[in-house]
Amino acid sequence: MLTLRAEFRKLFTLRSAYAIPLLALAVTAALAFYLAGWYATPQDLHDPGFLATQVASPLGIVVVFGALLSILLMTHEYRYNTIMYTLMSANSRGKVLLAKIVVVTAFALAFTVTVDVLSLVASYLGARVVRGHALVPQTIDVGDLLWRTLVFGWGYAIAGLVIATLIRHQVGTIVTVFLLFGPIEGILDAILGRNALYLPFTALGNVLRSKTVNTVLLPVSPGRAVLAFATDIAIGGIVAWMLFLRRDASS
Amino acid sequence: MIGAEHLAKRYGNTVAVDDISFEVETGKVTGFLGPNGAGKSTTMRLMLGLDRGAGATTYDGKALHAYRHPPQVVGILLEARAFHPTRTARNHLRVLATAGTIPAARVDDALDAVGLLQVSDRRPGKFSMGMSQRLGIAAAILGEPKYLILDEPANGLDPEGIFWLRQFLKDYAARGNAVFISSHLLAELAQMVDDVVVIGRGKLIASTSMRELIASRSPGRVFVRTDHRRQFENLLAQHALSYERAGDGFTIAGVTTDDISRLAFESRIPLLELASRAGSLEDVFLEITEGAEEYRSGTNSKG
Repeated sequence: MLTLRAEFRKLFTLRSAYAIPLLALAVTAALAFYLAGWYATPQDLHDPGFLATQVASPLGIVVVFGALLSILLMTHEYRYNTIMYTLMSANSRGKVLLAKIVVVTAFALAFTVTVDVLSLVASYLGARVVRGHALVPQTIDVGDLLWRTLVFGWGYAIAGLVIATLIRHQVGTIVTVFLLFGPIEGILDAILGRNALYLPFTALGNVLRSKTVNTVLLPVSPGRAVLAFATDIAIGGIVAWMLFLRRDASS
Repeated sequence: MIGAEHLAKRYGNTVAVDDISFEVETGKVTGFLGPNGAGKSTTMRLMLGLDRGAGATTYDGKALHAYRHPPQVVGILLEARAFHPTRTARNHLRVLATAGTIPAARVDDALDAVGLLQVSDRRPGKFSMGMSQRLGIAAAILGEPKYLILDEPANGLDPEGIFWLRQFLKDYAARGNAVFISSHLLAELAQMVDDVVVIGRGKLIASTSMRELIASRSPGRVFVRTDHRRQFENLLAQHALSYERAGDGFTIAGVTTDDISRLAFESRIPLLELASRAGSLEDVFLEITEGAEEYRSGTNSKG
């Protein structure tokens, strides 16, 4: 519990813990207000799932900010050598990693919900209030939308933490994460074909996309996509956990 | 008491620490000496469980992780700049206090003790080396631990800071605590430590009290100055005493000031100066670690 409190205190006493989410929210507001709301097409305005779609769209972009913060929470420890205090303070390394997982989870969930709400409000303001467009009555399956966006937001954050625990080097981790969810999975996608849906970031993308883009025929249900991602992250997580317990504190 | 037993660490084929055992007693300051690359920092990290290797270290008979709140048992300073540069000094210590179940009031006490209270709300990223060291010392003493393990804590401190550190650590040990400190400032260390542990190339060279170390390795020398130089040289030759000319005097090995005083008096040779020249920690260190240096300056360097 004390380790957990210390981890939260670490997060809240970091400048980047405020700057990164604020930047993410600014990007979210801009995307939702202008691109989704202000420039809504007549087709959009007649789509009862328009606002629900807008909730998911900015999240697909700003989720990297959440991943970035979780990466920093771990890699800063090695970059600034505070890891020795962190490991010394707890009588078990497992407690330290567990505390970081809880902090990243709490942050990711709060961040995702905030992005969801902001996207919804900003796109509504852009379309209905400022531009004066008439929207058809909207249908939002709140429960479905919430669990899929939460899994998506948490998935990126926890993947960032796992990769940071494996690599430990700050720049190395950031580059790896961006390469993984961009070019590397893109290339693997072309090679693996249908089996690419088991890749972690592709699986996460499928969780988010499933019901929001009705025209796209996805080869996997959100539930199965979650399972694929959970398997990937569990394998990576176990390796990261073992290394965290066994490696020297110095990177 | 800290008991380090059979500590060992390899990096691939390189043996960094080779079966080292020693004890650090409470009520004393113990110096940890060794040339660069001897394995001092690795040994300290092994003692704290930060690096994984062989052997065990106990604190009052228990492994560190067996304690519920390790920061209240051992305080550490292994890196001067071990802090996030944008987290204020006070917040840095607050994080450590929270993790170690240390009362929040101790944060300001520790900052005050090291003279950083005035700058506690500043970000330490731009702290000088000396200020960073002080913050590191504040972190080490935060939990008022029984044991302090400090790696080069005097680096970057100004003379006033070094004087303060020396007094502080001596007082800390005198209160029934133990201080285990490594430093390259041997003259400074000599004024501070009671015991010494010396290692070279990962192996234990000596673990004893400083007095015994110096006595065993450095026989007494006496410096004498007289204006009857020829007479005095004859006297030394008569008694088969080995000596060296040193400036306008002589350095005589294997005797005490009492011996020389008696000889000179009996021979009616007036002495202008008579002083004991005990071996320094530096002399002893250089002698016992000869050949154990990982890195050595060239002796034939040109230019």
